[in-house]
Amino acid sequence: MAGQDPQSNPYIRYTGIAMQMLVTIGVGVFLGLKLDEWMETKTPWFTIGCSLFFIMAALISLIRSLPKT
Amino acid sequence: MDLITPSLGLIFWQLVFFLLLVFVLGKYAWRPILSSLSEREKSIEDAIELAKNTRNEMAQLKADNDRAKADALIERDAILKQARQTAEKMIATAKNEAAQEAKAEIEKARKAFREEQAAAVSKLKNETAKIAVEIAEKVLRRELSDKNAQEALVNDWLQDAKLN
Amino acid sequence: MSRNRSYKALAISILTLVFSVFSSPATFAQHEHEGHAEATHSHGEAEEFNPGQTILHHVADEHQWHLATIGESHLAIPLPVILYTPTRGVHVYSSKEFYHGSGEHDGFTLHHEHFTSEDGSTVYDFSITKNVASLIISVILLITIFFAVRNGYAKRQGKAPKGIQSAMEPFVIFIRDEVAKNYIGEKHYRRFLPYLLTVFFFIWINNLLGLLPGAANVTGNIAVTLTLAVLTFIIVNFNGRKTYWTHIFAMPGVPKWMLIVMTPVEIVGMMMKPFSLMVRLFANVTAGHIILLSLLSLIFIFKSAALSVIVGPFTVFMTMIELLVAVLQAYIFTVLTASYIGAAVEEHHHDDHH
Repeated sequence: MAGQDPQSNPYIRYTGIAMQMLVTIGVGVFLGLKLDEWMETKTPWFTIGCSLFFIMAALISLIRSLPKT
Repeated sequence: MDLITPSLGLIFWQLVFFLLLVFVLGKYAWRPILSSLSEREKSIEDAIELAKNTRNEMAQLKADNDRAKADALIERDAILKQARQTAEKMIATAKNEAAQEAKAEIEKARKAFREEQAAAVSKLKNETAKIAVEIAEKVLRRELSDKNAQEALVNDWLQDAKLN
Repeated sequence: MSRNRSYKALAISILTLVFSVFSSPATFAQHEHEGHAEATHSHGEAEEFNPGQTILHHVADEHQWHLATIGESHLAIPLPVILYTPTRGVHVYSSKEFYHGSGEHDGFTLHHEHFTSEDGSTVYDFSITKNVASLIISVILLITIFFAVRNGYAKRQGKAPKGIQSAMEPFVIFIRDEVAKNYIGEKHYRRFLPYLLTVFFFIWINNLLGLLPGAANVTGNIAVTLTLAVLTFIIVNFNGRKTYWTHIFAMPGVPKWMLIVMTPVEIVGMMMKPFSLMVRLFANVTAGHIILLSLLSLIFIFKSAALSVIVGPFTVFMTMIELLVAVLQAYIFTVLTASYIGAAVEEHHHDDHH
């Protein structure tokens, strides 16, 4: 939701979005790895699931933060 | 991994000092700074507003003055024109009157002259008549002294009268 | 752990090699000296220079304030060590006790800046470390500066600013007008201004202090950025209005069944915002320090003073960039905080937005 204000600086807005995407995906993968480690799963389902979910979350929030025009 | 593992102690101190900083600066620095900033901005805005107003007033005043001046000029012109007109009229009237007066004077003079002339003529006539009568008297007195002459004369007159 | 270290060392060496192609003078004599000193000091292998360890040591926190090593003697300011264990309670020592020999004192051992207790109980370390000391210095500096600024305003009521007051005024006005008013809105910005101003100047001054030779790396420490990010998170969510929460739990214009997916996504987004704040500040500042230190390490890797002719200007140039980054990162953190607060306090006229 960063910078919904039409006056907000686009540079700041997009660096914010990029960083947020990167961090979101990173956290997702890390969380999945940790969960797999903790649950001792044979197939890394948590890694796969969390990565995909967080990538989706990153994309959705990216799309939502883009201007409507 | 040390680098990205936050240490409890530092979190604790950071929290303590940062909140302290927010509190102290908030209360003793930001509030007075921000309020004097907005006060100053307000006073600057007011000053600008005042200057603008004053300028407008000055312009208004100047416009008023100019208008008054222009009005005065127009009035002066009007007065001058009127005065000139009045003067012209007066001169014209005076001329007229003078002319008329002169005419009347001449007329009077003429009249007086005529009257005098007439008087002189009638006086002359009277004198002449008087002289004639006197002469006639003298003549008559001399002629009537004799009877014959008288009769002749009466006859003359009678004759004349008949003839007339 | 050791494999990790050597990997990092390798990565940094490669980085330094890449930079050395451009390579350059000796302005940073102080730093160089220190770097060298560090090498001898931290790992006891007197002659071997390990750039990876030196750099990581510089970037990380420590329990004393190490300034330089001259010959065999360390020039370091001892700092108080405050330890709490459930079994033994609170203990206070001087860090001097732990920096010689085996690092053991009174039942506590310091190893790689971590304390362990002899009796095996968990040690809660509340020491005034180098970063905490630097933090306190920055707090004192900020208070001194802004009290002076405030006095300036009191003295010259309604008049043009002077001295430090005029130096700080543009920044204060900038944060107020361009950040707070712009992102939070006329109606609410006043309440958040003290926090935003403090965050901005705190990050900025600590970034700058971190660039001084021998100084701590406060804003490049994950604990500090974590605390700031958590405070932002708390402020944002405590000020969330109806619009903010409905956007998270019941996005308008989204079918009900989609909410099962959308709500977790929104919650992840809500968490990731402060998280990205934390990572960004930490990563930027730490990366800057690593680059500077890597450049300087070149001189010691190649054991060549001549190289400093090339490395020096390059380091100066990088320091200039770091000065810019110092204010830029403070600004970005403040702007993003303001925009998150702005989204939280927004009243619904944006419902049709999505």
